Amino acid sequence: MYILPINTRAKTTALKQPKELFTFNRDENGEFHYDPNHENINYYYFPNTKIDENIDLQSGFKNFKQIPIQDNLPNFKSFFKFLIEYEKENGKVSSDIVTFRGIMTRILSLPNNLSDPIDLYIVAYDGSLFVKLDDEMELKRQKDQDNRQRQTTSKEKYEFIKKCEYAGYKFETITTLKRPWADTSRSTIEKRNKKVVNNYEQFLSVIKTGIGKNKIVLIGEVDCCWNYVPDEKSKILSNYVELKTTRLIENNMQVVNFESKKLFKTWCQCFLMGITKIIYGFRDDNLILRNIEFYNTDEIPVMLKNNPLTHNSDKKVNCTNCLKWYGAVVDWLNDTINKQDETKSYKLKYDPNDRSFTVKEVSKERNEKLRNGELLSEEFKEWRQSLKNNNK
Amino acid sequence: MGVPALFRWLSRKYPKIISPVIEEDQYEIGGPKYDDANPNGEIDNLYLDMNGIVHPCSHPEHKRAPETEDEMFLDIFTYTDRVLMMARPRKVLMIAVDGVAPRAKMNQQRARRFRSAQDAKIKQDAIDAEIREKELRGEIINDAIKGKKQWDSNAITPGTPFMDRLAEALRYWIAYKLSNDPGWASLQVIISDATVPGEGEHKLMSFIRSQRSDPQYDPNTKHCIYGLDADLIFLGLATHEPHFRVLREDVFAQQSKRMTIRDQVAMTQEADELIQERDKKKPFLWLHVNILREYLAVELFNPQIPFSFDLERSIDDWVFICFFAGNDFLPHLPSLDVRDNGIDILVNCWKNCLPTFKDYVTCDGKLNLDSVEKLMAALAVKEDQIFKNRHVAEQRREERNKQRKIAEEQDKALKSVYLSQVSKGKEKAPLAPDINMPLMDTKGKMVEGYAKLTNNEIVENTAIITKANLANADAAAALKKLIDSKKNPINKVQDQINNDSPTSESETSESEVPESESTEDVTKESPKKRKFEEVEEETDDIKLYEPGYQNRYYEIKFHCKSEDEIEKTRKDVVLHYLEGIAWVSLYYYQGCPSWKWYFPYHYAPFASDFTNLKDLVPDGIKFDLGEPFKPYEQLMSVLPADSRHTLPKVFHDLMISEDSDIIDFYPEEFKIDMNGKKMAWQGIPLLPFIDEKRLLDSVQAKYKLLTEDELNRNINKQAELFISPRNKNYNKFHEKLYKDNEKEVSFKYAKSGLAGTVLKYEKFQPESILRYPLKEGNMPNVKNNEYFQTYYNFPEKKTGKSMILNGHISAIPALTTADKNNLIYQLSKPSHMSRFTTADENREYINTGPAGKELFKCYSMRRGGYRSYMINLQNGGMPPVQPRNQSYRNPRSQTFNNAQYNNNRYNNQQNGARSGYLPPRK
Repeated sequence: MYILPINTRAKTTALKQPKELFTFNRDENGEFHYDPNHENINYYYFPNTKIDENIDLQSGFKNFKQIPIQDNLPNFKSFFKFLIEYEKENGKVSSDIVTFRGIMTRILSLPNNLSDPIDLYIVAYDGSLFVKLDDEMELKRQKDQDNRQRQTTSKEKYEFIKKCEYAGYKFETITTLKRPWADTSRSTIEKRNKKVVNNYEQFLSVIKTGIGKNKIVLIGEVDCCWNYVPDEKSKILSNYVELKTTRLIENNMQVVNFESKKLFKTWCQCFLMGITKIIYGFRDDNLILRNIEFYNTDEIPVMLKNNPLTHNSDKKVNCTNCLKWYGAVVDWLNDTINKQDETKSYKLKYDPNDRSFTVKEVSKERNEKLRNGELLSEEFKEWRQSLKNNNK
Repeated sequence: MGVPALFRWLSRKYPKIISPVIEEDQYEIGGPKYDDANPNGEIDNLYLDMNGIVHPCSHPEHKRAPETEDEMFLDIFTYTDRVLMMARPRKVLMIAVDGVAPRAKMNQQRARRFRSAQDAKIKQDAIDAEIREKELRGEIINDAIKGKKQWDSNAITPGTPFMDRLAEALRYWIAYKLSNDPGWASLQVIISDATVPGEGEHKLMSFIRSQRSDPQYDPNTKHCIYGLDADLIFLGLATHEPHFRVLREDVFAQQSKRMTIRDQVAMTQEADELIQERDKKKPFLWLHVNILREYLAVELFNPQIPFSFDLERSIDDWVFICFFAGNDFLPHLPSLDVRDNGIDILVNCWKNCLPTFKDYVTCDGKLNLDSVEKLMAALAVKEDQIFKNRHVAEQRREERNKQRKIAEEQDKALKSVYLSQVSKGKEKAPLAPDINMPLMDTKGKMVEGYAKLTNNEIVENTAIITKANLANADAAAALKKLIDSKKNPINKVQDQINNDSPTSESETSESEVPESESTEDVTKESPKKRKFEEVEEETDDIKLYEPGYQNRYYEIKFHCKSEDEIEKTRKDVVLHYLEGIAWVSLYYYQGCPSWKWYFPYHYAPFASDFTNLKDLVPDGIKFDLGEPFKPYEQLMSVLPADSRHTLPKVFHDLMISEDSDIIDFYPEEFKIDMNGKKMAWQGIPLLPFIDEKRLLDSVQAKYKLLTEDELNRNINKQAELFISPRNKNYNKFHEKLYKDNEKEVSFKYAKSGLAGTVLKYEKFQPESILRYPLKEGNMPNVKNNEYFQTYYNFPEKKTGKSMILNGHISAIPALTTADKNNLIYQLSKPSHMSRFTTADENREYINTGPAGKELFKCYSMRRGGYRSYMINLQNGGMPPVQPRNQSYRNPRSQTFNNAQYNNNRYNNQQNGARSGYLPPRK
């Protein structure tokens, strides 16, 4: 077992500029497709004057097509299919770590979320560390939380919580288009309010990034783009937009909570993916959209730092601090785990009870399962094997 | 549309929309350069409606006309240079010359050209007369002036040799500038000349629309269009590109003297130069469409409508109303006249009706017939009263005029008695007669029947004349009645006068007797004003101010005989008129819906005739696109016989020979129906409508007789793109078209601020030289490797939508709360009561386009946001929480509150910049 003290920080954080490798999507039936030409990306369109129309973000709640939690966990299988497609054209993607953005976000934001547990599996294969969630634990936690909410709150409150979740997807639906604005008819644009909301549809981007000396491949969902996807590959990520919703901010406490619970996490997500544009929709207690604000990702650390309300407070969020922690973790994982040893797999665990951050070898059984379907797919192993053979 | 009238109306109502153009003195050495920062604020794209430059340079009103065509072209270069220095576009310059127009426009072009040929002849005759007069007095007239023939402005029509030479001159000039002016390094110049079909301004519209459809387009593009046409203001609004301005000469700043005939002939070298200098300095102004939008946002806002208020849609309706009151394709409704507050009346109808509509009147150019009908019904209610009011105002005006004339005459009579010398020496010399009131005659024959009085004779006989004034006025009126009578066919009248014999009608004989005095009124005025401008009141048999006017109108104007005929005609006229407004609406928003469609009547129906529209067009209004005419076909459709010199010889016979199948299209004489108007140019020439099939058959039959050169002038071509070698796309274009021999190269917007496709222009060879095409002037040849020329196609056409694009950042608002309150207050008073604001009063305003580059400025600051909260925190204290109900029910108050909050505040946050809630100022 290897332990990393929670207060470890990297000395410096040299960050690599993230670059997109390829993209794929999940359609409204939950099926994944390779999409290198960005055909399924959404386009942001919501003019300033429309905000004054007081759109109800809970309308259509009854028709919400929601994907079951168990089907919504990060999925390596489909990713590998498309990675193979990509590598066929462009050669092997070499990286120290390959994982999902959501997973990295948890690690990055840990110093600010010391009470949230983390449970991950790490499999070393073909020179990279593949990291996935402990799906069982994850599912259990989510279900437990749901049950708790159902039991401890009133029916209305519980429904309200669900509606708030829905409101997030609703916001995405009314502010985006499936095709560029010029190719979309007026009636399509104006009828978005009536459109059935579903969270099956997703657009995912696979990017290459890095911190310190470590190279990282991340897979993350992208909500939409700002008008177009640039032809120049290096500029693509900077035109993506992250959409979020939150409650109107009307007093000091709400500001502080917003910053630490929501804005910071959003920053982490976008920062990791190289997404530079963030749009927040503000809704009131009746779930009516009342305000929209736009932020550049790199504005946020400065805003957080300069907030007078959190001077000398333990609630203050320090992004640089988290980055240094993140750098330390990545360094540590790379130094600790032997990538060449493909007979073992590991569990990375953060336990909020004793604030321990540990990596432990898993059982032989578990290792077998992980390497044969649970994480690595047969298809992928065959492919990588064939590459090795060809190189000999 | 009466341009000065509309412009005056706009500046009265919305005083802050105009501001003067700042020009640093560019005639000094070391003066401003193109790449210097523009003191008027930066502009990305400049659109030149070239006709607005060619016309004034080729036949100017305020200075001597150029002697040769080359001189004209050099004038055009100078003028264009000046306009370019004012605007200094950084990305795109588009030059559009009118090409073959849609049929709907050709009728107006035809009317104008027929009338202009007539006017030219009259003018030439007047000049000849003036010359004769001076020579009789012993003056020597310069041979140059004597021999000079008035230039035929009808040559400014697509397909003429002049337009060909103009095209060549323009291309040379562009190549020259690209290779010589460092400020033009990244400028992309598009020429859409007379060989590309479409009206200039609409080609510009198409271009803007096409760029908007590229997803990479910059929604904060700063546009500027140059031109005097009022239409440009509406076009600017219709693009829904808020950073838009119109550049035009300030015709009201300097009331420079119009050149009279006398002036033209008497011009000395010195005077000429002085006028040229002054002409170079005449001021220009900006009309800021973004500020007009601010005004309209206040004026058009309506919280009581059953559908959500949409400023862009409201603006579209407003534009629709404006061109309803006056456009080039349809005669306007009798009850609507810009000078009569026509637009205000209709806008008020619209505002009042809006709550009863199901949707706005227009939607991206398509009409909602239900709303149109309701709007017309509201106007119909007012029609009777409008006519009555007009009549009363007319009568009052006439009374005043009469009184004034009597006073003037008495004054003059007194003077001639008590003062020995009346005028300067020259006028005492015996003179040949001046021309008096001419008849509209295309042959330009002097109408001998009218006697002429010398000025001297008039002055000496003033006393007698004064007394006989009233009687003369009657006689004059009677004479006029005869001439303009709608009951007598024009030819009959012509014969009467030509034969110089009194008719059986007593009126004529009466007028013949005191013939010398009868024309006195008009002669008196002639030294002061242009003779053929003001025409006196004609008899009005329709009498719009008396009940029953509808039937009389249809009887007289449309020659209906029975009730049934009236009903049928009325329906037909309304149907076509409805098609007409649908056509115009689509033309503005989507491009020409039909090249063939035209309104087949000379007069419009009444608003009260617009009933049961759904029954009239049960399947909605549809258009057949068709194709534009070829240049010669267009020329044959719009030119009078006198301008046939601009057409190849083979066509001349078609216009003048008795044997021509289409000779009836080119009448020598035609009636002009003043239709209640005062100014000659407002009258309606009653020319026969051209039958397309007959015309095309006759014209196309002659094609086989044309030479190759002539055939080449008859083709419709494409626009061209010119760039300098420093343009970001140069290498790509050059390589792909000339090395890889590809047919075409598509390019997107982001790289250089222009999107489209280029195709190889075969005649452009990168190694050769472009020779200076003119004989006058001293400009160098241009090497082809110093510029690059290709054919250019707009990006693929997509349906336009009247919406603001994503990423748009508004300009800093220019109107204060006081301004807005003033507007609301003014709306309750008639517009002509407001003071006319000059551009100079707004000289402090500089249009800098969007309020910044930071994307967060796309959204106004509103309560409840994170950034807005923090900014307020910085400024000390939270504003009170807004009561929720109030804002839900009354979005207006929210908008107004936001007005205090919007980009203005974002830009004024000093503290914010330091705290990081706003990016630090650079």
